[in-house]
Amino acid sequence: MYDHAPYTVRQDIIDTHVRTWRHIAAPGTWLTGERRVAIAAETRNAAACPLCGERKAALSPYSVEGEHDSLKNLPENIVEMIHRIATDPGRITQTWVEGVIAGGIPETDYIEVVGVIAHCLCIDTFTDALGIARHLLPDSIEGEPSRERPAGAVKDSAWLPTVPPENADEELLAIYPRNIGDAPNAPNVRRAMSLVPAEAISFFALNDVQYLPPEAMWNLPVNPRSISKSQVELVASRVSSLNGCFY
Amino acid sequence: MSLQTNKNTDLRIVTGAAADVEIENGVLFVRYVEAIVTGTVAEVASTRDALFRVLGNDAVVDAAAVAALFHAINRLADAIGIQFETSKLERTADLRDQLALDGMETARF
Repeated sequence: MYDHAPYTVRQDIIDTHVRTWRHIAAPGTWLTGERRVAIAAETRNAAACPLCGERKAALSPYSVEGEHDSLKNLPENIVEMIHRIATDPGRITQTWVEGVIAGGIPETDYIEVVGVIAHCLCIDTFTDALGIARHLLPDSIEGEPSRERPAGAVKDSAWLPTVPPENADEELLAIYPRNIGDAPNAPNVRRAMSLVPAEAISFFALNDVQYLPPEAMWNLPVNPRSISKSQVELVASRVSSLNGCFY
Repeated sequence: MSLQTNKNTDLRIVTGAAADVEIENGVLFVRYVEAIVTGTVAEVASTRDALFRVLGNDAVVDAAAVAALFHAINRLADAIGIQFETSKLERTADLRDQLALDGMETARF
């Protein structure tokens, strides 16, 4: 995947990106592979949408009406969701999310769309940052979504239900740090997409190779990266500040 | 950030309220990140080259990897509206105060 890159990319990143591209292409929990690849394509397309540009520049994104410049492969409500999350996430409100769901996107599908956006943006931003041409989107893989909603999801740490550790199965528990330093039992960010566990598990594989795995996150002396933890956190914090993300 | 480094450092560069930071080559990292998130292709290339000249391949790749991950995870956090854990409130109070974070639109407790 990075054979001709001008920089030598760590093998664990390459392996995870290969798995991520396949994850995007494969049937998901609620969406087909074809729908998931279309969401990734629309995520890329959103950056150049004139309406999103106008909304981003406006005091309130809700003050600008219009039609998104979309690829026309997805329903308008999904296009609106993708464009807003991709281009102006810092001004998303609970009211907006509730409106999206009331408009016909089930909360499970909402989480899965967020997952595809996040996976795609993560890899695209990495290649853009290194001056590497973006990977061609994968061909979708045929098959049916599994349509398995985890039991025990509760709405206590986010606008949408998440699975607390006491209700998580072993596969999901693997991304919740346990007995590591002073780590919380299941940080809210790791719980965020747990209503669709496959998205959460896949995304945190990216997190663990690109940022820090739990054993390094909550143990000061452990640092598997070539840059210091101060430098890692400086990069992470500046990105979050520029995106207007408090968390 | 203090949670990971256990140091008392002026971190106002994180919000753009300061031009320097007491972290080795911190400004090089910040300029690269700013270009990745808001800059042009040429700005990304020039800031990446500057970081490469001083710290080499692995630092550039690690910085790009972290920046890309957070560019994505910020969207995940704000699209799902995750709250800040109450268990972190006390130990991040000084940092949030220094950076005036509690006034952010996305601050959810």
